[in-house]
Amino acid sequence: MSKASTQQPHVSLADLSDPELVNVLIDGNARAMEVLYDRYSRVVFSFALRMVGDQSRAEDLLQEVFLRAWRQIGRYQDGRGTFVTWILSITHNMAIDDVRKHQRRPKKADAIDPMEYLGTVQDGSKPVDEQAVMNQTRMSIIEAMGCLPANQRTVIELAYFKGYSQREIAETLEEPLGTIKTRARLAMARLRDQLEQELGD
Amino acid sequence: MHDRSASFPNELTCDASQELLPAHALGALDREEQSQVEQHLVWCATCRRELLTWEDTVNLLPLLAPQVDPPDDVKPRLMAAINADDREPSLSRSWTSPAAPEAAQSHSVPFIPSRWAAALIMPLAICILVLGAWVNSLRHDVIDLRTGMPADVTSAMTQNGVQLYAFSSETNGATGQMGADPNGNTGVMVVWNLNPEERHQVWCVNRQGVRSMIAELEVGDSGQAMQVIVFPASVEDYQQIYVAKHDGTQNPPAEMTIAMDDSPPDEAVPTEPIKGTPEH
Repeated sequence: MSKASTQQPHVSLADLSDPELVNVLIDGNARAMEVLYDRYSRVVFSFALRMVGDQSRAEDLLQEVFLRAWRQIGRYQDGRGTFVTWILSITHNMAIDDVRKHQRRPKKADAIDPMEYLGTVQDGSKPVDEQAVMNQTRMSIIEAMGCLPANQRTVIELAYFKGYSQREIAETLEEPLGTIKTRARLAMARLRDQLEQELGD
Repeated sequence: MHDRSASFPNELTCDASQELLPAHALGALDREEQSQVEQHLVWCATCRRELLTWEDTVNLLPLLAPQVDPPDDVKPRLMAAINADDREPSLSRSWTSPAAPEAAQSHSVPFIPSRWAAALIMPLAICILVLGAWVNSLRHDVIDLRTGMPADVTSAMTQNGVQLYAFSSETNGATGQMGADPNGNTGVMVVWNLNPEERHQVWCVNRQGVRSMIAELEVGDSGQAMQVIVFPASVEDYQQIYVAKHDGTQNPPAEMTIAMDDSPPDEAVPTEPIKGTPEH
């Protein structure tokens, strides 16, 4: 049992760090998941909604993602990254499956510039202390994306948010595969460099 | 850099691999390219480190979503589902280490990628990963790591979000390991001490108890097989993956079995009839 739960009974679960909550979860206390849900349901739901574009399916995904995290929490103790990164990778995997299930063939209409999404949904951000860093990080990735040419952003959109392979992107946009591969590389390199400048050091 | 292209002509060079890594992190490679990259990553620490930098970037993409509060009724539904779930917590813990919580707390800032987080956690994290992989192997009853993957490979694979599954045969001394993303459908399997005169296959049993042959291992003269295995479904969807000697039947007994015991238990699945044993 975790040190926090045995020696500091007066500490509420809400005061624990994410890794401490994970230990409590592994010990079988599901209430720790309530706290993690309170912290990250918004970012998971927002991402799921962005991926599938459907409120009802995004709600189902939100529940399924946290349920899977509960079942597989033992796999998250390998120092692979933060809890929120882990749960968002689960979200991405499940959302891609959902997107593919509901759309079998790539459509050119999917080639929307991802920056356009930012203006289409009300951002009801309610910053709280633990989210301040996340909000700042979010501003950094939005800014970095904004620095890319639109055709590079479209490749990121189709690859990451729609689950297309580079070959499918080339077919969808009716452009040579080599062009798409180059755009993907350039886009990723510029994003990485920009984020290193913003977040590094 | 460890370029093995001379000894493995079909394997990517580092240059070719690094060209593909950004798209690999995005999940945008075709299956064949993805398999080639994953095969290269097993052996190349340089490319694994490079991949981490791309993954750090990709991990921030979810934040591009406009932030929207979820409806209030999802949380009670989730908690009801969790409380009704029959997960056995003790089965879910892969390994424990007294140092693990301390290491995790030191990068508690949400979302800052590992590479950009405090550098001081890395030495401790590496120790934990090696220990974790070792304990994980013990859990699978594989004691002899002399023929296992090098610690460098083992720890790096674990660090890359790869679950390691170890297995061994009690009769002929063959051992093996498979690294796979539990949520993905691709694994890299390495098996040693197989008889190169015989044919060996990889079989799996899904959670409905349906078995199927996934791949035939290409065993080299040294008795080693190293192969990228692409499963029809996510690795976590299988209750068992095993290597069997080809005997011309649709039901060859398992030589060595990977028990997928991290998966949520499903008591309805009959396990006895499909558990092959080396003695058969």
